[in-house]
Amino acid sequence: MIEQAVKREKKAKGVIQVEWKDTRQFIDALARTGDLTVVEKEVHWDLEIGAIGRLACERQAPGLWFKRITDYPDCTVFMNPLATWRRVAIALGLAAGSSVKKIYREYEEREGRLIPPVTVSDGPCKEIVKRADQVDLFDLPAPMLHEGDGGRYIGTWDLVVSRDPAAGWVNWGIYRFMVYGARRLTGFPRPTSHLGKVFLDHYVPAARPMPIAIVIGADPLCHLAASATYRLGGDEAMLAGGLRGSGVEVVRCETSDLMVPATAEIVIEAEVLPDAVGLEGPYGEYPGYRTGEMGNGILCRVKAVTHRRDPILTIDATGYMDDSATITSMSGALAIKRRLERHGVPVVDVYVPPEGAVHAAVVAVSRGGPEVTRQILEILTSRRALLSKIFVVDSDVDPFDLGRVLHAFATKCHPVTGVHVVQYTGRANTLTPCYSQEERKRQAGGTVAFDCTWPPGWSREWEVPVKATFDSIFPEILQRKVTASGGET
Amino acid sequence: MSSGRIQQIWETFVRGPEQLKEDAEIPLIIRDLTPGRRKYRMRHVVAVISRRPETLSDGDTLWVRTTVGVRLDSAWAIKIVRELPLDLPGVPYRDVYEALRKAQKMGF
Repeated sequence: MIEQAVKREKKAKGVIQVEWKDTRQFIDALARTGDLTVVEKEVHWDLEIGAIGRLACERQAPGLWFKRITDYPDCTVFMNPLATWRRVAIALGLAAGSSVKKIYREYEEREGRLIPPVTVSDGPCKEIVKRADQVDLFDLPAPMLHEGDGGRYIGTWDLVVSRDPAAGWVNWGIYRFMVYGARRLTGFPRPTSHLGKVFLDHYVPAARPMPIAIVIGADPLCHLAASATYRLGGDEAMLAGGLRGSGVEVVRCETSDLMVPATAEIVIEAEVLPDAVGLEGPYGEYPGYRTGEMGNGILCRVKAVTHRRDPILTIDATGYMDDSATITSMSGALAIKRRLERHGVPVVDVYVPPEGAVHAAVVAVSRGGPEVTRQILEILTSRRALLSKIFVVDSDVDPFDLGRVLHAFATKCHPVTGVHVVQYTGRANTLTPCYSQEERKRQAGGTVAFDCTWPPGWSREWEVPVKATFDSIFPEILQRKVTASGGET
Repeated sequence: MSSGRIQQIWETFVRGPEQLKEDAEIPLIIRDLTPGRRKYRMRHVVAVISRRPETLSDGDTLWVRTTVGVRLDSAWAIKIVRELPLDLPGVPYRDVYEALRKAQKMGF
């Protein structure tokens, strides 16, 4: 039985320390705040779990803990861990009703404080150890999530540990993996992802298999860190420590020297094969579509599986408003902000709205115009071009207020001179639904930036239109009078 | 007359209808739709397929899905001729169907 979660927030020196040890304590915390639905009736891993989880995402409903899975009496499934802002706030140790802006600010502050992991000699993830022929991936209730997917996806709410053999740098990332056989997985970490890049640069040329560890059900902030749009060479394990306010306990793998969070529910130790392939996909992905990305992935040989007793398989019901809608959007927004700051762009704030499926960003700047918009476009598409729409707004527009953003877009973006487009090949997001199959093959695509700012050359006194809103077009003294009287003068 | 053999149900994904050549041995990636824990396990095979099940004696059922996962309306018949390796020799991130065709030609 899972013990009551112990969640305390220490406000020592202004630092919140979240004492999540694992997924189980997080589940208990969600139960206490009403952010968890425990499903006691039997549900089937073949589509039923996926359908329930999908509906929950689309309704922004509580997380789901399925206690009885058809064919799998020894395992439970926890679904959509951080798919609502409430659950993200709870994971960060904040009040469940915290505003999105408050959550962004908290993440931004903690992101700057890196805390290294702590090595331990043993951990709950080693309670059961299966090696070589003992391994059978069909012993785990990997669900068929959507009707028509290429297979049963076991890696959806995971974190995949890998190492750059040249630099020694360890990467954590969330990548999808599909059960292919008893000891085979196929996956699709994009070739431009950190894992894909290290694999192609260092292991494929040397014809060496690449060790990886697919960690399922670590504490939620480890997964949040793994989802971060982090710089190449950045250490997500240290980022996770920063988000938690304490170092993550890590333990060595059985078949490689990779280190994994010790309290994880399940760890699949594998190697990516440099000279073999299998069918991967198609899969209903985070943009909210199954785009036909299929058969261009990687094949992995599984060497060991370790897990806790009565393991909890954590799953993301991937699609519209899934876990990426909150956490990838937030970490992506802050990565964009930092990148623009480094390049001298006068950025004030960045918001990646969950409804935009990590394809659209709103960038607020203190000084706009075509040059700044063009600069933003070029910076954000130079290496990996995951965004396809960028809205550049003046700083008097709150980027988190999509109504105001749409107003600025509709009224301030010049339909001829305010639209800036860049096209590219070899770095487009192959999961972007509007691209053709042919474009996907070439990783070809484009990004459009809408300049919703006033031209810097326009005179404030003579040319810039005056905003006809309560806070802009009336004297302050009158605004105060009106608000003091509750709008009834 | 029935041979007493239990007919199995398989499913395959193809990039286009041109991959579904009848009356010839073709390489396919199929998955097992038998209910139970091992449902959806994958196999690489060389097989003969037909739109008309009566033309393949002792054939199994084959459902076909497209690149976006849509299942075609009618089932095909399939007769598996031989197995290809599950670790299909090929280059990561390159087209798996190209690797499959090569494996068939190499006589695995």
